[in-house]
Amino acid sequence: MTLLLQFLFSGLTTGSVYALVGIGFNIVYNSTSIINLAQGEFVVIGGLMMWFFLEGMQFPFSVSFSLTLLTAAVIGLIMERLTIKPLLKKGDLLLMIMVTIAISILIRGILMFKFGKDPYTYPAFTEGEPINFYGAVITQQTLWVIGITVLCIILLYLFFNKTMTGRAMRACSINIRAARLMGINVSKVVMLSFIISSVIGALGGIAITPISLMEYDKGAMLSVKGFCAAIMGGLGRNRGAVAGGFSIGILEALTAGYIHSGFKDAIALLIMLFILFVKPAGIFGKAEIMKLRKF
Amino acid sequence: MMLEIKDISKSFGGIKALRNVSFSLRKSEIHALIGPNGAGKTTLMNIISGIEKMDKGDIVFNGISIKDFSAYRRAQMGLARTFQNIELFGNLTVLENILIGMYMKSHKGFILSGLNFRGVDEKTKSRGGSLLEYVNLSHRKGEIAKNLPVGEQRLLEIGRALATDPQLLLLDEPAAGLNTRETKNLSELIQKIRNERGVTILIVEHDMELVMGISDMITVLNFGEVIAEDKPLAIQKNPHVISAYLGED
Repeated sequence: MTLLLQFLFSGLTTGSVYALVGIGFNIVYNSTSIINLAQGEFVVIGGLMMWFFLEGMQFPFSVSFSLTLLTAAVIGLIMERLTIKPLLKKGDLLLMIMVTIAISILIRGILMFKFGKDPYTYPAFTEGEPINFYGAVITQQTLWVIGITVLCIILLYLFFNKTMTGRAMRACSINIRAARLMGINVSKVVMLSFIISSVIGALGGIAITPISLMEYDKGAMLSVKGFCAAIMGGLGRNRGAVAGGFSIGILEALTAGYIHSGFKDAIALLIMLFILFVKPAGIFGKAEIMKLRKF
Repeated sequence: MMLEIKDISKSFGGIKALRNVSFSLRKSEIHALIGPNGAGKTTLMNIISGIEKMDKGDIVFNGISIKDFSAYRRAQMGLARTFQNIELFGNLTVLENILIGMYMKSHKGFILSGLNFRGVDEKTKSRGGSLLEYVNLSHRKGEIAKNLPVGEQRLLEIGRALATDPQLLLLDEPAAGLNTRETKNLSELIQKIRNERGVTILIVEHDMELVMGISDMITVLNFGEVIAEDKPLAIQKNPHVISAYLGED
């Protein structure tokens, strides 16, 4: 029982990051219908830049935190303005997805040059004894990761449902043509969706690095897992990505704990194959909505 | 002149959808665009609203050439439209659809209004509410748009277009799929929009009773060319129009 609880919490922690990456996929997908396969790299950018500002430059925590998010936002912005914006007019989705792969390779290369191949870490956000929960040991950083994820989800929910800009972004994802005719600047919406998804990815990276360390090439696997999370919940639905992320995280932790840690990565891929065969629209997605999408 | 269509041509592959089409709309008139299927009416609507590009010609709106302006810029200048196949924001509520329409007039910058978690102020909300009342949809306020019957979806689309506070409203077959009573209400609504708000209206419609009943001016398109432009009574007697609709003897 104690062991199970321990696995559950470690699953929730990694699952949080998958959920955040999955949400990042969704936000970009909703505004452009493309899959941004560089999504995972932003988690790495978050972790490594946080280390750079915090340990390398010795900035205080809050400054490093803000600067890291700002860096991620700027990289997301540059990526969108330089590559996606000019291509969006042509409307070749496959081409744009290939470009995101190219960017992920580029980012990975730059990070390797800058940081080398070693894993990086920095102290947990708060010091203190781990909490004992029915025998399971939960570090404070675990709570930070889960807390930040939940906060992100709540803020995004409020943003998309309460603010006018959020509503305009939803309108674009439902009917981009009508949105344009309502005077919504779709180009700005796409730009903002890239910025938001970059920042969310970086947040996940900042929070998880003290637990699981960060190295330059972690992004690809994170992209895959996050994509599984998004697919599992039905692409484009944030609630689905959260549920998908947590379930994949927990299943991974259970597999690693009870069977063998070598099988861990296979689990997400098996789930993705299973979903694609059985219910391609995702557990929460509706098939008829997926048919209306271009991709 | 509110809108001047100057010498517009458009072809898709080898097919000439529009050939040197010219006509103009006076301020606050209801102008109908009719013609057999495939005459190029919807293509012209798409070109005016900025969804499609034309090959040749010019569009002058309130004295300004808007041919190089993107669709959202045209919307911001006061050009609104509805669609033949209703294109609402199906997953949003009825009121939210209206609020999106009011978005460009009500929001204070893209980023700022993204940080305003209270969303819209009471004034905007009540303006949205009174617009719903105007199109007789107040009782549907909180419902999800796609669950409305077709007739009410058409009304909501008109309401959403009005929310952008347009000077020119393009209606693409607004009576399609409506029953007789709904069509009658629609014709009253269109006249009300013109009379009370002074909005200029360009309407594409197949329901001749509706068209003849409300239009000040009618332009007839056939195979992408303007074959007649006149008042309703004269159009009904025009031999070119009759042969276009009924075929040559």
